Amino acid sequence: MADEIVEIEDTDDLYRRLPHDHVKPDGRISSVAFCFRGQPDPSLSVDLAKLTTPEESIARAPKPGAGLGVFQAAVPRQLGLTVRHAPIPPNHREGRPPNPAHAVIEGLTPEDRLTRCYQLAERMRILVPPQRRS
Amino acid sequence: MLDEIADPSLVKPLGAVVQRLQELLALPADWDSYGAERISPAAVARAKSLVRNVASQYWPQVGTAAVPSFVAPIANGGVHLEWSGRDAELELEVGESAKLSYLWIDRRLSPERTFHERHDVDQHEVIATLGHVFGTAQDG
Repeated sequence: MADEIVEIEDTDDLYRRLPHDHVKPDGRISSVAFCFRGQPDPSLSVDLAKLTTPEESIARAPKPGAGLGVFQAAVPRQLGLTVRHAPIPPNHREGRPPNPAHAVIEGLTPEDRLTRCYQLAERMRILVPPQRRS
Repeated sequence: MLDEIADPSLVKPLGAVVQRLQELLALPADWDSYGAERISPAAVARAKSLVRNVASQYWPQVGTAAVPSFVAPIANGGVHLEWSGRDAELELEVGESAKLSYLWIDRRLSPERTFHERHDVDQHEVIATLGHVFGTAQDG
């Protein structure tokens, strides 16, 4: 089941966990929430809402306190990015559970990544506010 | 580093930013739950230096706007800083190896926006661009 790839419609919601550090004091999400680590094939992890719940998505964080942002798949696509379902199988060696809802946003390039991340951030809505780190 | 700042009204907001930058060094790996790196001391040191230089240069003209309005860790181990002007913003990325990249969002032709994204630039370019953000630079 975890390997079955599903179509992602433009109207499908995508979740992205938000650390407290990436939400500004005025409540806006910072573009830095979309910074990627991998080069040269950057991809941004999100969860496909129709295959999970906000609670499950937040619970995938190793520590409590993460918030959750949401936008429709149409948002990155309108910016010229692609969205595809990429379920994660279990990693028994590392003790990591599967994530059948995992999807990736791809197409950020080194040249325009800051602009695209800014545009993604301003279109994301906070579904669950992150908790301040104690 | 704050000893060089003569204006006492600048010491408090600048000190808060410097403290925030220092605190980022304590973040553990995977602080963002997506596998983030620990924050690089080189990035923090470069950010502190740049923050001080920007404040020294623009404080007399723009006051507290010369101090970053937002500081955040970046998943690759870098540091993110933001400054806001009346019709523009600048988002600066100090990479994990202290390289500088920025995004200047120009709203002078509002409601249109212009994005200027530059990578691997030097500190002088960042400071000069902030002059446009603050409205103190002459357009040329």
